Amino acid sequence: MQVQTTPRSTIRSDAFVAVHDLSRIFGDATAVDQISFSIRGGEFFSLLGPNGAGKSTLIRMLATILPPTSGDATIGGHSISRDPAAVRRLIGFCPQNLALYEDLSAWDNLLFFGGMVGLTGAAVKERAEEVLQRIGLSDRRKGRVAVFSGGMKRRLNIGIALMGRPQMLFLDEPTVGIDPQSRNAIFEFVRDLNNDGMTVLYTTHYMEEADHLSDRIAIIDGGRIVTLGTPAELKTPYGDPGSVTLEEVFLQLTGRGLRDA
Amino acid sequence: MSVRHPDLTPDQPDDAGSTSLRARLQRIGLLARLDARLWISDRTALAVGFLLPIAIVLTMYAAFGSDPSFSGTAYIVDNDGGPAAQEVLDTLRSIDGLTVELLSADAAERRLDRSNITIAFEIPAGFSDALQRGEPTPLIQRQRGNGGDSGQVVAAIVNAVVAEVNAPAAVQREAAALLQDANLTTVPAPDASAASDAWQQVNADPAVSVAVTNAEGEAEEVDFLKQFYPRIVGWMILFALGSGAQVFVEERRQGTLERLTTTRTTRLELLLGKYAGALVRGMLQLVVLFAVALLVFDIFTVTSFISGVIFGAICLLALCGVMTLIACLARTPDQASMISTTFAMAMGVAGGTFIIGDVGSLYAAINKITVTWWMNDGFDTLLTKDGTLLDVLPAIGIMLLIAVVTLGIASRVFNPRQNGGHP
Repeated sequence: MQVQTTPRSTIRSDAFVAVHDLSRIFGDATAVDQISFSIRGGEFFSLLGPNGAGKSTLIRMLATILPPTSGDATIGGHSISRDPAAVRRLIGFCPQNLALYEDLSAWDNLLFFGGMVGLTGAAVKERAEEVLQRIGLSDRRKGRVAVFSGGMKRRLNIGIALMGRPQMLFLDEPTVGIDPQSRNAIFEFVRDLNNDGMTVLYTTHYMEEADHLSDRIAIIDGGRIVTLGTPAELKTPYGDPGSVTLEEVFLQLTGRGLRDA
Repeated sequence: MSVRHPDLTPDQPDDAGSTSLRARLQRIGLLARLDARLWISDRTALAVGFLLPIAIVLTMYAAFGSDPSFSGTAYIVDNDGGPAAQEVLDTLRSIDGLTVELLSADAAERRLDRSNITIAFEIPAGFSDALQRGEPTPLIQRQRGNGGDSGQVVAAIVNAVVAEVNAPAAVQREAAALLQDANLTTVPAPDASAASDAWQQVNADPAVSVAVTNAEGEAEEVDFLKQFYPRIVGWMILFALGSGAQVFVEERRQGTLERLTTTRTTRLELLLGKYAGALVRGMLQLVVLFAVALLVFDIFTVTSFISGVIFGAICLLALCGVMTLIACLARTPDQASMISTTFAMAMGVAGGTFIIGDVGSLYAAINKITVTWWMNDGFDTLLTKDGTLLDVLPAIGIMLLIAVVTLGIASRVFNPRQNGGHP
């Protein structure tokens, strides 16, 4: 198995996100093991890895949900350990599960989360209106989320993360469990956000998603980055980038054994 | 590569002010409002929260508070038809739970023979005239076997009434006998009217009487609704808060609380927001149910309503603290439900919501270590003893202490992360 680590010297000075030897240990298990990498401002950066590889733990540390056991990271120059409040002002976090209030309407969900990021009065309503249009739910604004389709809920889940006008968006498997049409709609939507300059950190199990969307991809396994580069750079060692798929690269690097973590 | 920051317009969230007290209170208020809104939108929760307490109180009132527990019929054969016989019948008819059915002598005999009835009473002919002459006259009691349990109770009531009606005649006869024994033959013996007056004077100031007291040994007349309505309301609010604790844990499990930690909301703000949400729900229940008591059941005066709501709000500080702590400790919604329900049940039973321990008993001692006993005692003081908030200061102090301690512990153990942060 080819293993490429990211030496600290590769962390760019213009990085919007700079991760230094970040680790997280749960009891005897090391979920993230001294990971270092950087993400440029406006970059679409994807994390790929099998179940239990450490993707969600890494993204939750960067989103200031989990404190690291050791190491640190900065986002927009603010340390996630020492100044998490400043980091939170820059980020929007879309968790893997649907963290929204199903008994409320889409509109009320957006107003609530908008209020929680500090928007008030007319500003929160204007922002909710913008977000509803952007996620294509304007005509369903008053509908109870509980009766939404899976794809609509996923879009709202992302929309909530946008309420605070974040400079960086964390998307933890945002397309899991939805049909290809909804997934494609979310691709386009997230790509548009990135084209508008938003830095995106994306985790997914869908290789073609990552291949299509990402500027760079890190494949993570066992809590460590096993390779990092552009999709073409990852494919080159295994043949013609035009014919090799990212899934083949992924299986080469992480093995074909089942992961039940 | 230059960084373009999208959508950065003047209405971007107020970053600088996000740590101000106003911003913090705003976030706590939003969380509380959300909780109340979700609760109000749940019709089942509303029905349980508002209608169930009233239904329980009314059921208890119907069972124990208004109608007498005894119900029986006195079968009377009136062979006299005079005023004294009528007095006996009227007195019997005025007794709660006792029905008077007049029978002919033949009908009474026939029904006794067929065991349709077990006991009957005959007012003999000349009953009224005999009493007028100062000659006490007994009723004739006919029965099958011992008359049955109900028949014996009816017999005791009828005999007591007849004794009462006979009493002036007995006074008249005894007075005449005393005058004769003392050879005061020139002094006229009292007539029936004078004897009746004398008997009423004796009754007005009896030498021996039975004092009715409550379980705590206090001589007072117990108003069932005043005593039990606030107790049931408090108890049901405890259950409602328990379901709130369950929802709290469910939110943590779903990840909405975790998500909120990535906004500007701190862990303590989240905890206080959930606590305030429980407080708002509890206050809504309390005020509405007490308003019903004021307007419909006439339990409160305006003054006792205000002091009751204030004291209830202070009790809610403690109850919400306990339930918030339970939500912080429980790992699953089922655990939260089980712990909070067990707690509410235990408080209902041990806290004297339904039964108060006799003074000096172990049960009474257990009563006093429960939060509900202090709450119930406070409501009793305010409603049944016309007390003021000053009279319930010890209870207020205990409630505030419980609120501070439970919230203090909750703030240490609260973890908003899904699965406690584990992947």
